[in-house]
Amino acid sequence: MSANKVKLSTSDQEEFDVDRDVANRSVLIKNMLEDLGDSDQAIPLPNVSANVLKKVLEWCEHHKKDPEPIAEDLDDNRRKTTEISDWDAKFIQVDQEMLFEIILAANYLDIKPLLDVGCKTVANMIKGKQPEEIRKLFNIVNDFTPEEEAQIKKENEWAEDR
Amino acid sequence: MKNPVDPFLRFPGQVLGRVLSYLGYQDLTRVGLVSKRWRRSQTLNYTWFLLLQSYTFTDPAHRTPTYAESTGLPTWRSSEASQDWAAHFASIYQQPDVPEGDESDHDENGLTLKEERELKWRDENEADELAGMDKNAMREFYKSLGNKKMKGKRTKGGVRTHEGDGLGPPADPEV
Repeated sequence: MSANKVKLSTSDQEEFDVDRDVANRSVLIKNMLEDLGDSDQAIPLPNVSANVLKKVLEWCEHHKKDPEPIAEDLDDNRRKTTEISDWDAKFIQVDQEMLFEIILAANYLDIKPLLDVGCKTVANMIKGKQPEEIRKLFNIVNDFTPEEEAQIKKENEWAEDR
Repeated sequence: MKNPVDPFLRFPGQVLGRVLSYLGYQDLTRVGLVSKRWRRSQTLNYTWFLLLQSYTFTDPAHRTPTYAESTGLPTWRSSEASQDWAAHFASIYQQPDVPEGDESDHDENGLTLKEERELKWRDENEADELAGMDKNAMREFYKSLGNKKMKGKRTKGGVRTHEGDGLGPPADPEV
């Protein structure tokens, strides 16, 4: 096996041969590779299934030349923006189940920029929606009594007035 | 899993916290109305705690690190965790001296809310003091003081009784 290829093994026992600079987008894999040194052994990823890893690697491939992420900005205004690049926005147009799987995989594999793309996407889904619309979106049952709901709505008036 | 697309069930706290950190107060109040589980969430409560800090602390370096900035675990004391931060935020936000609507902790002049309030108070104080006095009346008033501080305020406090009390030189003997 070539020195710049890495073997990854998924939860459903599929193996992927990946360029090292693509796999290095994952801090988890990067650290494992550094610990292992040169080894032909496949790296097990018991929390990621093949269809999700395929998607994640697609993102890593496109972003393999990105500069190392700098320390995250403390400035609130920048942190608050939920803008996503065109390529990422297209990439993340998947069904909700896959979106959640990608987010969980990015969290597990420690790929912060991908995690942010996913979290921003979920935040954008919630933004500007009424509680009933949010429930529909995430398949949530309203378990408040009408009285409780009316009371909380009254308490929330300050935020709606502005 | 009962509901694979409920973010509050599916995501670990630090991931959910990241999602919520992108929402403003209006969206967060609506999130708190979705279900009892969502409303009870400590991750939501922590998000309110951080949001309130972002409005009230001037220097980001002195704030509690957010999920995105730290290892991702909440860093707060149990006494803080047991409070209702959405309610705190609402009560502070509804005070009339807080400028409206601005999601940022700095306004368009680059001032923090605190600085903005202090400026407003200073303007108000000056306006009160100067009310009914034009420039000439003010000059007369200062002349009448004879370049001295208010003296002869025997009926009020601050009168020198003996030397060496650490309050500066004793009052003029003839007064």
